[in-house]
Amino acid sequence: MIRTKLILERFDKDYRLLEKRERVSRSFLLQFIELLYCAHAQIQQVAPYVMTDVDGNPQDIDSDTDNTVRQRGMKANLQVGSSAGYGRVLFNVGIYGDYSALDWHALEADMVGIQVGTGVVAVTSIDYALGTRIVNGSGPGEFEYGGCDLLYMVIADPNGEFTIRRYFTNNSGGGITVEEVGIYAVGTEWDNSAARHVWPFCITRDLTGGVAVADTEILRVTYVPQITV
Amino acid sequence: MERKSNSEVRARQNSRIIREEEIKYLLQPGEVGATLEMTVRDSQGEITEHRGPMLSKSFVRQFIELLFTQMYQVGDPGCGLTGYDVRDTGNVVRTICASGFNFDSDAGAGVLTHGIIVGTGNTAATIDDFVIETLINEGVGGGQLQYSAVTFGAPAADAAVSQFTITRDFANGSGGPITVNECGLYVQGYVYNTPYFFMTIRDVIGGGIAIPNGKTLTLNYRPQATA
Repeated sequence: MIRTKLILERFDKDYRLLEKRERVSRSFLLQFIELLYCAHAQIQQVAPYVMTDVDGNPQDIDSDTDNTVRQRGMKANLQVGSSAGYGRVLFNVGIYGDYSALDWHALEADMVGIQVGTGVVAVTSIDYALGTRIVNGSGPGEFEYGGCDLLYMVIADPNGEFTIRRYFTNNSGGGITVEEVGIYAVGTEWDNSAARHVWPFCITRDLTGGVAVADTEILRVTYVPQITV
Repeated sequence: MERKSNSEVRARQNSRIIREEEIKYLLQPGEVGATLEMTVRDSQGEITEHRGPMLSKSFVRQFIELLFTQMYQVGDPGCGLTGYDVRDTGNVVRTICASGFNFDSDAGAGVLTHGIIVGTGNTAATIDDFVIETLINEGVGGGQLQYSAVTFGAPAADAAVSQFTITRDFANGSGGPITVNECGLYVQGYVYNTPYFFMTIRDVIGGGIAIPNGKTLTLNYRPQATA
């Protein structure tokens, strides 16, 4: 089975460690299981599976890439790696037979990967978003989201793990208390239209007990999924 | 409401003791795993043996490697990008990438490349297992089982657990009894233009489960997440 470590570290502006908390992540959500279901059952565009995105809206999701060719399988489902802030990130939702016809759709980078918020409502497996997400920026109550990194697999019998982490910089001019953290992962629908067919889905949510991050400080949030036999 | 003393507490007439293996919540909060359920039926559909749901013990390394491949969006070596090396069920390391095909376990009848697979091996699982120890082949010959198509139950959740179901039937028309000692899940992983297959779960069944001739074993794997 998989257990996941959750590590919260607070640094000053010179990257001196001020505080570190480490515990087991308690809450993988329905959307994680749904994305795995779409992959295992090979849900096709003609009969998509409906998931609830982080805005509470139903969205058609599939594992399809092309109804006719299906030679190559570019598909961003389950992606959590992302770049920083409001930068545009393109996610592959499918392909038309060769690389001349990749089908990409965009999200802002901060909407994919590790998230932080101020919500304190207890977690349930059917949560579809953080309670109160802290948005990207440098205004009051805002964090500047760094890129969401993944570090490579480390496997040594009986364990295997990889690391997902993100830095949040407080340049808001005041303190911010982080009460919840989570991961938003990508789900897509194959379609060659210009409409958006990629959405973020909340796959984990954890309450922190409150981590106070003063102005100019940096919060590093790390998830480490570990498999043990 | 008046509180009754212990001596006044009565069990409802229709209550029954729940055996440990029947408890739905087998994982601790935050764990991701799977449960395993096994049912043997005769030719009339009558249940002759039932076990579980019980905790599937052994997600093996290929599961987390495929999960990493998708979460990281490992690039396709077919267009010059760096893929990720994963050992397939043929004991060959394949360089795979993120794709819509990863985790595909939607196998048809008689297909042994992916889906739920059974065997007779009983060596304890390790994280490095990449194949069923001793595969039971498809067919009606001695020691063979007929593999049905894999079917899926859609995701469901309550406040604490979410899950979906992967099911396969194994019919014994071999003329003799067969004991299944191990089972696992094979899935597809994507390499340029070619499917390869990887084992993500392997479980050894304590004591084995016997399938008399003419009976059918149904296996349910239910991947679960807990909050």
